[in-house]
Amino acid sequence: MIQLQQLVIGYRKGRTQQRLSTALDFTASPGEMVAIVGPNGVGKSTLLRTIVRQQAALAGSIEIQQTRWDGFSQKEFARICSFVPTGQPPVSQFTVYEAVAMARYPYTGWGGKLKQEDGEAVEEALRAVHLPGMRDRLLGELSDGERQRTLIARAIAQNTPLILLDEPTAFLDIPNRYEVLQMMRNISEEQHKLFIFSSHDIEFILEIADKIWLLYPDSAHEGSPEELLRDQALDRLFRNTDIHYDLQKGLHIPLRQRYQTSVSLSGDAAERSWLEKALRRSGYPVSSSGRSSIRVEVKKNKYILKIKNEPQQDFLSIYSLILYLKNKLPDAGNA
Amino acid sequence: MTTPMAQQKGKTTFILFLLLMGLLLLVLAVVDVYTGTTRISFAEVTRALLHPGSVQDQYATILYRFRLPRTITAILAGIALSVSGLLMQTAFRNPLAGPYVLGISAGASLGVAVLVLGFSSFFAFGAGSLLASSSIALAAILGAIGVLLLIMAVSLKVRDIMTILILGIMFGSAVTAVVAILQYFGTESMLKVFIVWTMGSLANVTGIQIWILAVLIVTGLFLTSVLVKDLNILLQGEDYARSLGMRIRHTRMLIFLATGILAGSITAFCGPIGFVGIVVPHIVRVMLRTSNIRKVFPATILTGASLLVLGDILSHLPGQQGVLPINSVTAILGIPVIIWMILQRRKLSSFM
Repeated sequence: MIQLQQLVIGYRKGRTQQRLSTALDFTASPGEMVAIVGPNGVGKSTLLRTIVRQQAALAGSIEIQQTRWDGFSQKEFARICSFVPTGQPPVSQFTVYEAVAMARYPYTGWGGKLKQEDGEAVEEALRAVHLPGMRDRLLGELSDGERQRTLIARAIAQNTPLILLDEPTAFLDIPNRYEVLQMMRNISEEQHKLFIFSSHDIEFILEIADKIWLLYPDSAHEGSPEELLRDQALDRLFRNTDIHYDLQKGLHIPLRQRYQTSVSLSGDAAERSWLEKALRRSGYPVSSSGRSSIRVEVKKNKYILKIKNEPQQDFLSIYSLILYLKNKLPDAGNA
Repeated sequence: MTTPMAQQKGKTTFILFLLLMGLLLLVLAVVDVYTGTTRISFAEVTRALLHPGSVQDQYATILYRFRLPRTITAILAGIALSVSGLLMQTAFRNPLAGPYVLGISAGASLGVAVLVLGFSSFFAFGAGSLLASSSIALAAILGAIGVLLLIMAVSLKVRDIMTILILGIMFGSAVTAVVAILQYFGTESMLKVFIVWTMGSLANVTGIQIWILAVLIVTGLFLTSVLVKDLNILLQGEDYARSLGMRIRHTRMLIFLATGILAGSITAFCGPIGFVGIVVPHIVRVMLRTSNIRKVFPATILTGASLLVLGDILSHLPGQQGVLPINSVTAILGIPVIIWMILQRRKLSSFM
């Protein structure tokens, strides 16, 4: 459905060009969720804007439905591709219904009157994002999640096979991020639409995207999330850090060990693993040998601290235990 | 498809607003015609209106040569300025934009300044005559068209709307500077003619001029009504408008043209009248709680007309000697509204 052919994106300033990418050769098919991923400033938005023709390509071309994308008239293109720009839309006193109905612009006459099919398209889009009850709310009164869903409904009401979104999950909390992406996924499957979106929510993308277009300043990769992980192409996203992706544990953030003395744990296994996580984060090595000078016995709702040559002490929370340990063994006592 | 309650309610508010504002306009227009610096009794005015031949010639003259034209001019000017304010606020997505941000009034005043101060011998025959007022209007129109053409040429080249706004303000300042130089070299009596023009007056439009003005305003309103669909989309940002297939430059040109016709012709005949254009669209948006141009546009027409007729009534309150300059009256009416709005809203962007 869409094919980037040796596409180079960037900016033209007079006679000089500032290239943001190598020549890109990406593809995507109907019914897919394609995430554009890359470090800040690598040109994710520029790529989106180039595809939707709001910015000129420096070289190469794009084919959409076997036609060069600059061959469409502005009006034809509006029926092929819809675009949800990033950021909050200018807060205006429009109702959700009015805002979504704007997407029928390419289909209505100069008066902008909605015909029956336009009304139905708007209703269907509102249902797809679970917003029909909100139709008379003003855009300015919506939460960020509701507003983003309205914008997605608007893209759907434009009735295009291709929908591009620039950072649809920015500004959203975790449940809303998940909900918005899941909603896009359902719509792409049910209505066989192609969603191409940029995002930094790598953990969600790895679960939900069919394909990733991965951009680096000097290289580009595409493939399913699993392939890119397997080939360690994504690792450069975390450049200059020791973070890596673990198939079992997900994103793994390495921690610095700050203390020599290890803490040995005993007791209920599930409770113990929470305490272990907290200790490691605070920089204590953890062992289960029982030979360490610091031992903690984990009981139900209680942590019993036993330090050599000292009376044992009870703690009711992980937090208070760690706080005590930190004061007991200041940083200097380490390595 | 069922129409939900709230949507129904919004529609009712809208229709009620139009009815009330229409009624208010009617009442104000009647009061405006019935009052003036010359005292004419209620009965006499009514008789003069119904049977023009049955009253003293003097009263008929006052009514048909002065009061009625002035009221009609106030209505036309109120409509034209408010609608062009709405157009400019929408095109620039800026709540402080008004009819004159493109420099149209500066252009008009340059035209008038060149005529009045440059060719002052022409006015030795008698400033204030019909010939003089027609030539002032013509000069103002030429000046306004000059600036408008310049802005439209620029907007063909420049993509960014904010750049156009800044250039418009720059042109306006440059033109105003030239006007100041002309003023410096003008004679005292001609300077007064010019200053009086800048104060604005609704009283100078008579006879055939009213018809010319009316045709121009109707043309501008027709252009605007064609643009309503595009204006709503423009409020969502130009990137979005482009992605819906709008030809932005084309739309922008039409908006500038409509603004030029509306604000330019009023400035030509009545001088620059401030504040109405900025304030009225805000009043309408606040009262109707909507930005939808489909509703704001007709409501702006009625509110703009009412506000300027009210201004006209206040400028010649009974018992006064002479008439206050309309520009001062609209400023005194308009500024409290602007201050109230600024204090009401936290964010400037929530004005739109």
